[in-house]
Amino acid sequence: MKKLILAITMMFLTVTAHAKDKLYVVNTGSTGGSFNAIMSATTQDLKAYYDIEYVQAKSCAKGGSVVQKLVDNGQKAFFIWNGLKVASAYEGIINKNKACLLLPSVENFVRADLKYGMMFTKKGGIDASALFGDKQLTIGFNHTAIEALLKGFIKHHGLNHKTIRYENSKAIVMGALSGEVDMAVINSGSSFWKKAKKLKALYTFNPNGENGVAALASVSDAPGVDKGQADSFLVRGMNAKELAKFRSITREIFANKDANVTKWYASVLGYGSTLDKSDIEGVDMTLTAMQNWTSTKLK
Amino acid sequence: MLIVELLPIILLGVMAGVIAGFIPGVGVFVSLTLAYPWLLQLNGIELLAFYVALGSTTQYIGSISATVFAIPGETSSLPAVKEGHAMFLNGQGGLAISGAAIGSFVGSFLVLGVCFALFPFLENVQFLYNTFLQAIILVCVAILICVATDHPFKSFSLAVVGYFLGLIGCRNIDNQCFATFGDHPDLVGGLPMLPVIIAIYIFPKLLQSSNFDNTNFLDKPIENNFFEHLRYFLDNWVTVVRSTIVGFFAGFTPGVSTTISANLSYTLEKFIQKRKKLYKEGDYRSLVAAETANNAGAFSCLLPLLILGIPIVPSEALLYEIASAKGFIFGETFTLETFKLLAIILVIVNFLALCIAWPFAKHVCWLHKIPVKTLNALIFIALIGVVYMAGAKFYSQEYYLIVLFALLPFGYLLRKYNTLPLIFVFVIQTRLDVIAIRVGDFLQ
Repeated sequence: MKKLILAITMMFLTVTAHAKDKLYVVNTGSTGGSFNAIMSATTQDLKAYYDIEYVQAKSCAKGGSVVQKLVDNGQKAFFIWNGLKVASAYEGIINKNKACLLLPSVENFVRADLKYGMMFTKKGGIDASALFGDKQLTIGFNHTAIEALLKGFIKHHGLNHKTIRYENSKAIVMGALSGEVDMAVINSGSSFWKKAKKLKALYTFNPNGENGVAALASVSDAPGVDKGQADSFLVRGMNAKELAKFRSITREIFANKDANVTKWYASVLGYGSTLDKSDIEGVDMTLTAMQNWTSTKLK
Repeated sequence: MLIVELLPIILLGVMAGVIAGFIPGVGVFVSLTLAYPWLLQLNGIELLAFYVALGSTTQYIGSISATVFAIPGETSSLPAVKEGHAMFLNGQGGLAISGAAIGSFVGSFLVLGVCFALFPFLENVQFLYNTFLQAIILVCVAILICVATDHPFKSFSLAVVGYFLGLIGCRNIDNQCFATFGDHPDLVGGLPMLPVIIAIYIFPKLLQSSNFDNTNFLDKPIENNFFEHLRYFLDNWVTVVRSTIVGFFAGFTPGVSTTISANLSYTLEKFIQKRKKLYKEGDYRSLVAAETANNAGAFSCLLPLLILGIPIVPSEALLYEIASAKGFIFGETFTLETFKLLAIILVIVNFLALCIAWPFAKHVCWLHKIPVKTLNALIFIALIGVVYMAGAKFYSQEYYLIVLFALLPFGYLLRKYNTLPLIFVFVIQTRLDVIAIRVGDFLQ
């Protein structure tokens, strides 16, 4: 009997010793978008290190609330955080739910994706010079923050173009492909690069140009034409040691060419990363990119 | 890639489709999410084969649970709940299931044939994505669904209620929020579809049918023989051709593809039957119209993904992203060879799905041994569990249950009404707003 109890105790101790930490991965984007794809791929890679529970939260308000609930229950959460939405929430452009007003800091920051908007048309569509011409163009866009920038650009150059709202990047690409709009502006170049064979790039918001596409800043001095964005990957419910371990695991995953998330990023263009920076530098770069879109002082 | 190599994947897709079609709230998207780790092991063509098998089988099986249990696996099965379940209660469950299955089968093949013939022109599919055309389609379908009921004014009123229920939450397109009460995290995302459909559409149906004494019915108004059912189906070939065409074009509507296909075709058929004074609840032609259009739409909504590389429903978006991660970009590798392979996959899948669905048609009469009241009570308890599980996926189980129980009294009050207009407008509300806002932008 004693042997049996000892064996059971040993088994229990072995199992507990090897038990992985529980980690909740929260997707705060739509289920059909790139945020979900990145988080799903990351989840697969993190399974080797953590016992993962994946939660769909669809918005920063819901995502923030889920994360708060998890932290209140003593859990650890890893989530993606849309920088443009946070800045827009500070600006009052989108709902000002407190949960959305979360900023990256060295206490919660893992990494960030850096990206720039893009102007494009369909293959055989208008020339880049038409953007500054007298003829009225229809320009599609997919984010309220981009609308403000676009309207400022039109006003700055005294143009007569009409802006048309689309619900997401897929819809706007379809609008451009069908010729419904003369050109389109998206907040992230990745959607363009996925369809690059059927579309024609006009300008990028990247001030250095991107993959052979000219910078809008090289032909326009309008405010905001060189604005970048950053989407953060944050954690909550981890102490400094646990966060350091998590960052180290993330770097390990990204160093592996066969990791699911590495493969995903390899399949799209238009993303920069803070992974090769120190945590302090990464946070600073992210806040700088977010600061582009709000007058509230973020740092 | 040889079709033989794809067979195990196709079989797994069919099996997953059976489960997804039978359990409400599961559907194609949730199935893909659950299978995500495994899907990452597949190449692009294998992914497509699995997706087609899953999606097509779901359409077949969804109509069985809709017919027998009044539970729509997907929103495209709502007409099957109304007509199919009424047929089931009248002792014609077998005929309803066979009609839906054969309709799905024929709809898929007609569309496949047409696409094959028109392959060189398929690239022009992008021109269907015109905001004004989509606005006309959506508004016409919503109006038709209201007009085709016995009480158009009441239906319009219910549709308005559906619109406002759908309006709750924050819109992505312009960030306007409605009834979120200080941006409550759950309300920001709107009312979840599953509890609303259960409370407002399924619950009244269960209440209506609970008064039936089904134990005296024999499921033999027509012999339960495949050829008899086929002959009965073929007698209605005009309905089949009409609904295939309607379903095919309506299937291009982003976000609500097969929902529009099934509901538009159903409403049109019901309207025609009413004008001929042939319609009564449990109408075979209306059911077949919905199910044929459903599968035709399921195929057409795949075309923008295959040809342009643009997903138009969430499950396609997920498939697209998984395929991208594997280096397979939809829209860049779509050739006649790929289409031929897809056609063969569809033939196999539809044949398998029909073989699975058909036995249900033969054996469904045994369910009449269970009193409807007991069956409905069991269904309702199961649905509460399903709502809880669906909510748990979004860490919102309490919210899902609150919405369900808050709306149940309204479902009770509406038990004598046809609540399809309400639910339909609730489902397409976001799309309606998106289109209306864009039309406004074009006209400014």
